[in-house]
Amino acid sequence: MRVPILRLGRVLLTSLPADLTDQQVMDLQIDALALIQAGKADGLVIDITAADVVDSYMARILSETAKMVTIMGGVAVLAGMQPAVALTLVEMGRGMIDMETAFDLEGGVAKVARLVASRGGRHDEVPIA
Amino acid sequence: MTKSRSPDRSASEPAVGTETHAVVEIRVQNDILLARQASRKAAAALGFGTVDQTRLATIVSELTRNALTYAGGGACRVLTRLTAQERCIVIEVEDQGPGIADVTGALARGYSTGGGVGLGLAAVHKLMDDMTIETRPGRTLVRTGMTRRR
Amino acid sequence: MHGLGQILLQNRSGVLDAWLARLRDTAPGAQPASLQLLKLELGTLVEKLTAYFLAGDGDGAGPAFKSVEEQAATISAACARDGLTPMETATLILSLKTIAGELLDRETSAKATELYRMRTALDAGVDRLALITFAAFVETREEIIKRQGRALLDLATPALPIWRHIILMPLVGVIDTQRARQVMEWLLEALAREEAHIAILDVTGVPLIDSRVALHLTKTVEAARLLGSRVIVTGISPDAAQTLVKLDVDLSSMITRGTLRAGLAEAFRLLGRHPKDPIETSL
Repeated sequence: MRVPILRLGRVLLTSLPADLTDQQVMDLQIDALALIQAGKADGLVIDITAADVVDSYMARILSETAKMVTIMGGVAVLAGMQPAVALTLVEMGRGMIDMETAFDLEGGVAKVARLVASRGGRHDEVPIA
Repeated sequence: MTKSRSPDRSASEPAVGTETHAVVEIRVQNDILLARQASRKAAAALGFGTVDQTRLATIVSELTRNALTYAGGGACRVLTRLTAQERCIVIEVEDQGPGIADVTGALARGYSTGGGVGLGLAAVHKLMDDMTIETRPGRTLVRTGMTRRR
Repeated sequence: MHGLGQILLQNRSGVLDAWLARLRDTAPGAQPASLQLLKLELGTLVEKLTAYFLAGDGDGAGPAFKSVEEQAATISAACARDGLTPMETATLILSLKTIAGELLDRETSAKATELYRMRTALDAGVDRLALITFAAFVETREEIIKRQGRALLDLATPALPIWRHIILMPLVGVIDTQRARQVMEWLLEALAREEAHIAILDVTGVPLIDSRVALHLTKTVEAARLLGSRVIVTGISPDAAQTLVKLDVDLSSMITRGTLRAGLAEAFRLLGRHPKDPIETSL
């Protein structure tokens, strides 16, 4: 089963379930990139409140997804990480998660809005002088 | 390759009173999740805190994925030991794969063959109290333990 | 060494009294209550030593001496707990040599060779006890130190919610790896519990900030970032600043301020508001 991606305005929202297979993470990456490419959103918030394990593989796929979204002109934010997960990731090594973060879904959406604004607005709008 | 934070805590010595808490065969991706749940359950039963439970589930995820990726599968055993002073969990992951050619390299961050990220073993090394690796073509056994005082 | 045993047996109370008199001299600071307890323990030691000399030839072997050794270890542990110095404890045990030696000179009518053999056996026995006493003393002290260390570690470092979305964690004492892990865990849990966006970690009370402590701080900052929160480290002393720069520690990922006051101002700035503003979410 694929993880559903919701759209709220121009932000994509997705919430990862506790038990996520490697294949599901890869599928999520593909789906999110396709939606960004279709011009349906400027940003992506991945909520991982439910995830009780984020191992090096998942950390890498998430960070890579964020980079890909950035290359395609969008922004990606990871929201709601559990304290124990953050601690474990930091102990594993530096820079395991190389992307923007937020406290919760609400903070994630706000951060996407702020990052898009600081970049000068939506990427499909050309400012007319 | 042996790493031991304290010499009397080696996971490699034959343990007295060790109980096998669970054995999970690793054949498909979903088995990684089952092994993770089994280790977390064992840790919770021993009264390990949330952070230790997460460390354990994470290294089980790393090791079982390695077995699946590089050897096409294997087995994960969760062993527990309770003494008067200590609570101990040992994770053993065994596979029949080609073996690890360069253990030292695999432990160094970023090393990888076979397209993986190669952080797995290094992460286990950092999160656990001790770790031993026996490897040759046809059989690899990684055994790693976490010990807490009672 | 039956003769030696006999003499000790006949003069038991005299030996004990002389010994206690010396104890008062060697350890004038000892509490009366612990002196009472020590008197009992020393009495048992004299008894056991007597039994040992009565039973064997005094070569320091066999179960009888084992029992003497155990008693000496008990006494030593008691001395360590009562705060006697190792020197006082060893002097106490060794003084038995003088006391019993004088007793021998006075009481025995034996020939010079026999007297010499008795004194040698006595010296050997007491010397051995002094060594055991010392080992037991060190062991007890180490046990005490370990226990105190654990107690210090268990002292919860409080995370105080000082404003909406801001928590303060004042660190006091030496930060080793184990404690750093614990602090990180508490800080992250507090961030999640209080829904805090900013944690101020005040290190004014940390006596030494070296590269190892800096590494722990960096990790804490990184872990907080993963939660979507920021950490401001305050109270870095001039000494610490000099050390960190000389050691070439990379602190670029960390917001640092000299004083707690400056740290708090920075927290408000990051939250994009003034303390007088109505409370609302940002960041």
